[in-house]
Amino acid sequence: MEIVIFILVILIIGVIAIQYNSIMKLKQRVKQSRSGIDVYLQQRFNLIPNLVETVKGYMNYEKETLKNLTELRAQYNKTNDMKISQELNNKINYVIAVSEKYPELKASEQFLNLQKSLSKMESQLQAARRIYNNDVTTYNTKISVVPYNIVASIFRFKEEELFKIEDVGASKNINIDIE
Amino acid sequence: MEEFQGIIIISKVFYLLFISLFLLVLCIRLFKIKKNLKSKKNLKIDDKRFEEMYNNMLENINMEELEELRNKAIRKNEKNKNIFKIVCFSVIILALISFVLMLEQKFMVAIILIYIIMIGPIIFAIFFGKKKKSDITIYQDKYKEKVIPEFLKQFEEKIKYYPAEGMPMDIYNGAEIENYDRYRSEDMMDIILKNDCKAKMAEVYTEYKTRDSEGKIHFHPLFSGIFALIETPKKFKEELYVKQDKELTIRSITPKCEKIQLDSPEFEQYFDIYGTNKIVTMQLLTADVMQMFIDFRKDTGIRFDFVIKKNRIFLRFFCGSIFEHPYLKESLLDKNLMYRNYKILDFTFDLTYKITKLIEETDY
Repeated sequence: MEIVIFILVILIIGVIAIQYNSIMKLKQRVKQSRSGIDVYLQQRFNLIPNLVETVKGYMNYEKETLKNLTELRAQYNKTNDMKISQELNNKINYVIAVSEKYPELKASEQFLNLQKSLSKMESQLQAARRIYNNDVTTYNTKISVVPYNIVASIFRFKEEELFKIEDVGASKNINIDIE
Repeated sequence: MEEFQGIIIISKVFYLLFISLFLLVLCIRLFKIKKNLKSKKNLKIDDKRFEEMYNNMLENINMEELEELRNKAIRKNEKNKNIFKIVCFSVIILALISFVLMLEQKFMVAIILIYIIMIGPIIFAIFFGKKKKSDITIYQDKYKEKVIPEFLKQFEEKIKYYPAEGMPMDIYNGAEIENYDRYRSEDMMDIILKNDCKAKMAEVYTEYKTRDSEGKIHFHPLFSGIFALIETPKKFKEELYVKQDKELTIRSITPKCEKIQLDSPEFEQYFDIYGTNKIVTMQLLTADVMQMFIDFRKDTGIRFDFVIKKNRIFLRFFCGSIFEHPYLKESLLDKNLMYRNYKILDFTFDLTYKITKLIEETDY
């Protein structure tokens, strides 16, 4: 009887260890893809001072947005928080979208170069985001199905958040009155 | 009687071998016909551009000469088929008679019959094979001369067609898509796309060889279809392979490529992706591009591989020939076949435009 119980305990420990390892592997993958996003976000956010400097002369009506952009960047540098990064990224996209309403700004060579760099980085960021979200979905699915959810709750694995980027042009109707 | 015993045994063995071989060839032939019929998927034609194109072709091509050749080919084909049927029937009857004769111990007559059964079809095959080829070839050549150039003229891209030329072997090898032992190519097209990219497309056939226990070499088909090369203006450092799921013919993949998991389960159902850079792969395989791949695969049922290396895009479609005339009994300008060929070219061009634009946007 004792031998049976011993074998059972060993078996249960073995199963838990295997499940723990497979969840851990997915978590590591999420971490890795998150760092990929961070790299591209950082590259993108490094252009914020240039962006603010270039547009502030033209976009008088968006002073608050630009100030907000600088503050958010400082905040992100301190905390590396994903929610702030999403907000910051959406703000950049907003500024770029709003610039369409300023013909003089649109004609500026400096702004055009900046816009080109930002959109290139945006494409890389989108790619990194897809990788990250894919890994997060796989991880979240894993820890929510039986029997992995039991192991996940024992070791307190929590669901990860998806990285969302707002499509400013499509989702918001930007309407600015220029007097 | 005893002195004939050896000859009788040898003849019996020959008899059994020959009958089995004959039945095997007959089965393979029937299987091939069935397979061909199955692979010919009927497509739903709902493309206005194609309809316009098809109508233009009907107006511009002088059908009379082609129809005449087609009818001649049909008649010859029917005649050959009947001869083939008679020969098959005769072989079976003679085989049965010789079998009965053997049972009745009339070995000499049976042996003579067995040798007739063996030699007869060989003589017939030599004669029949030669005759069949010449008539269909004349029709095929005319079809390539009249129909294919007119079909290619309908595209906005500049396409030059060289039926006798093929894709150089080193270009095909450049895709590093498979290892083969025998290579053949014909029906080459030189294309200048709307975005000034240069492209080449041709029919390619590859085979691999095996040796049997007696050391004889046998060749087996590996790839038969359309192979395309497109040169992009921007040099691309990374490599990307989109291959058919569970594709057995793919024997070699560049070792530095890793399998990449994408975020579309439907796409992954059909394709396996290998690349040197995850981010670039995602940048190129956008939702739009993936949908294009899926739609083409679903609509046409044609399997295909897609490779990007340096400044070259390679595509190969497992579609057999696209320049062959339709089945003799089908209409001369078989709409379904034309649509299938149109879809292949249209997909190649559209995909190229999208991918070259996306490559421009990448930083690699």
